Parts: sequence; C-alpha cells; structure tokens
Amino acid sequence: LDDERALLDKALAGDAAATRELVALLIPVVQARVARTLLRRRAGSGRDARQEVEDLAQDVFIALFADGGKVLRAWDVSRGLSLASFCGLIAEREAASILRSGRRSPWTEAATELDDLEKSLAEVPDVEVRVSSREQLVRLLDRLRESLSPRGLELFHRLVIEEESVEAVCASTGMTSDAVYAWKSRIGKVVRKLAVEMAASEPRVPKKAESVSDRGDSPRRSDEET
Amino acid sequence: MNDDDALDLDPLARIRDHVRAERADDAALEAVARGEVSSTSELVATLERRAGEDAEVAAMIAASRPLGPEVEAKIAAKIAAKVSGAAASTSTIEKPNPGRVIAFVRRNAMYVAPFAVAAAALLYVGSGRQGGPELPDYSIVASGEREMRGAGAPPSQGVLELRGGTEAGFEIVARPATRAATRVVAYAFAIGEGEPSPVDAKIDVAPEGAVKVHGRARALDGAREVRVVLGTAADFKRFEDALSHARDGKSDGHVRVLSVPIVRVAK
Repeated sequence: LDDERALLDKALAGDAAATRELVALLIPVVQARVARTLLRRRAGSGRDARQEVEDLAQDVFIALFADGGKVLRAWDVSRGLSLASFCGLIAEREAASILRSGRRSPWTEAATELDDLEKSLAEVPDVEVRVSSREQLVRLLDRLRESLSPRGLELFHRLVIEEESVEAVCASTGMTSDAVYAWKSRIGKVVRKLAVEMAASEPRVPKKAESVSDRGDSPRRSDEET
Repeated sequence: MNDDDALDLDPLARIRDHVRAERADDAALEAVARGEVSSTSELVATLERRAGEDAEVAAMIAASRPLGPEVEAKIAAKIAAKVSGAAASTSTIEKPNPGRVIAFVRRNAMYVAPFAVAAAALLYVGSGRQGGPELPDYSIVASGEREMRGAGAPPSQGVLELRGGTEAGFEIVARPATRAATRVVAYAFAIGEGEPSPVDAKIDVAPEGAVKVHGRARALDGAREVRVVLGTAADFKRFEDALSHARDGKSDGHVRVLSVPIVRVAK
C-alpha cells in the first residue's frame, strides 16, 4: 500500500512511467465497473460496447486526474479502502453520471459538503418515502452518488453498502463516533430529500398500472419480472 | 429478493440491496479485465458458465476483456497532457521565471514568418527496417477554426494556422498514399520548450490508416509545432517509444513523424 501511495504521488507529479504503471494497475477495476454499469443500464443501445467502455474508461481516468488530481488526492489508505476499490467507486459514479446525463458531473467540494448538506437538509419533510420502481431506484442512487464528495462516497460505501459498524469506521478513519453517526444520518436524509424531490417531479402512477408500464419500458431480465 | 419485491423496505435498504446485487460479479469481471481465463480462474470459469444462459453476462464479459496496451498508452498520454497542462498553468500563475515566460508568450502572439515547409505535402519514403509491414507515405492537411468553418483560405497542407482564442478548434488530417497494410496507431505531441508533451486532443484512426487529430487551441499553448507520430502497436510497446520518435522527429519505414508547424495569426 505504501508502494501504491508512492506510485500515485509520482503520477500526480507528472512522472510518465508512474502514470503508465498506475493506469495498468487500475484499468481492470475501472474497465470492469464501467462495463457492468454500461451493460446493466444500456442493453441494446446499438453502439459498440467495447468502444463505449473504452471511452468511459478514459473519462474516468480524466476525472481522477482533473483539477490537479483532486479526486485521487482524496484517497487515503488509512481510511480503509484500497486504491483500486476507491477508484472502483469513482468509476461507478462517473460512468453512471455520464450515461444518465451525457456529461460528467462536478464533484462536491469536501470542504463545503457538510455545510451545504446541512443547509439543504434543513427543509426535508419528516415523511415516509417509497421508491416504487427499479428505474426510480437507479436514478435515486445516481443522484445520491453525484451529491457526495469522494469522502462522502467512501463513507456511503462503508456505512450503507458494507454495513460496517460505526466503531470500525471510527477506528480506521480516526473520525469521532459523533462525526460518523452524523454522516450516517446525513446520508439517510439526503436519500429522503432526493426521493421526495423525485416523487414531486414525477407523475404518480397507481402501483398496478406502474408494474404494467415497467414491463414495457424496463430492460430488466425476464426473471426479475414478478 | 429483487428490487421490485422490496417496495416496503426503506429507500436506503433498497439501495444497499440493489448495489450489492449489482456488484455480485465485479470480482469476476475484474479478473476478466486482468486477462485471466477460465482455465486458471474459477471466478472466470463460473461467470462464463452463466454466460451460456444469460446474454447480459456474456456481453459484460466481452466488454471486460482487456483493452490492451494501446489503449493504456493512450489513456496515460491523455493524463500526462492533463497533468503537464495543469503544471504549465500553475507555473504561469506563480511566475517562477517571469522573464522567460513573458518572452515565450510574446513570441506566440507574434505573426510568425512563413515556414519553409509551408504548403508542402509531407511525404516520407520508407527506409526499410526488418520485419512487419511498412507504413505508406502520408500527406497532411491542417485546419484552424476559420478553415474548418469554410470561412477562410483553404486548409494549409503543411502549417496549422491558429486564430482566435484558446477555445478555437483545430484539425490535422494525415492521409496515407495507399491503404495501410496494418492497423495504425497514432500519437500527437506538442513541441515547445523542453520535452514533447502529448496533445490533449481527440485522435481518430480510420481503418485504411488515415488519422485525424482534432481539439481546441488551448491544447497547443506554448507549442510551436505538432508532431504526429504514426506506427503500429508493435512499434509502440511503451509510451516512451512514441515519445522518443517525437523527440527525434525522424521517420523510418515503420514509424512516420509528421511535423506540422504552428503559426499564430493575430486577428
């Protein structure tokens, strides 16, 4: 891991050999995440999938090195994710964002993220929210990823997806338990806020009719239809 | 349980289940992307068995096969261009050597005298290196923003005339005299002071070997010349191989170095 840090630092300093070595190290994880994201969401889009994977992989690497490597500099091995796992999260986020909107979404600045989140979450109504289709769920997930900084994305992965304990996250990140609980709560609030916004902007469809329309529009496999 | 069975779960729990399901094959797809095969990897073998019954899994495997050293080199070159670009802009802001920076900027802003090579098609005759097909001769057409829009003089055959600001477009097209007998790989380098640096531009290669380099003028800040280096994947095992040719500026039967001087034209 120290070697990875040293390699990353060299690449960020412009060392051509280190950059190539880093690309060779990371391209399997980036390509695999991009390919899975593309194929799960865009089956039968008509474009050559390998060409699209290549283009998206390039976009991910450009995103990693953009603004003086801001995203890569946010990686810290002591927080518990390997460089490849961290870049895998970024690759998923970038690929999904590009496929959804056709362009990269700017990253939230970590320094302002907490303030912005607190402000934007102040008005979240305390109501039960439901996500009523797979498509809505995917959109919600994409918007959640886009709303988080690289650090927020790491915490989302560890606390929500991997369901790591607050104590374990505290131990590897050096954060206080209050801070980690606060993050966990914020992520939940962000999800609720986004779900409420999406519900407000999308027409309400009775559950029965919705399941019918899902069959026509969704790229789901037949074994997912119930 | 699939996503639609889980309507009663809270959104965060549904997101967790969805992401976990999506990631179920990630380790196997990464193994495919590393070039591992079913005879040596049980992960890959299991995934390939499923691919026989699931077209989506088969498509994911196909899309995850290694992109190859060519693509890796291209990505590394783009990153290098980005990093060196950032370094260049930083040095301009910090002005570590003001006299030198200012002199260079002034020189760029001047109307540069015509180059001896202007309007001449760039033709190279192979000198013959052992092994592998040789590349055909190439000619070049370079266009700045006005020529691309058809608003100015016809595109120059040897010189790239840049007008307008940093967002003005440019295009360099290299056409082979005959169809290339092998797949052509192309790199574009900006030549200024110091080492050649990869140009942050899109490079398209047609099956017959024609190459188009197109991008924005900002990618050529500080450059006096673009060198387009053409060869085959075998010629460029490492990025340095292409860089070395760009540095030397010399062609041979296998590798073509096409030189395109830049003229910056005042409005």
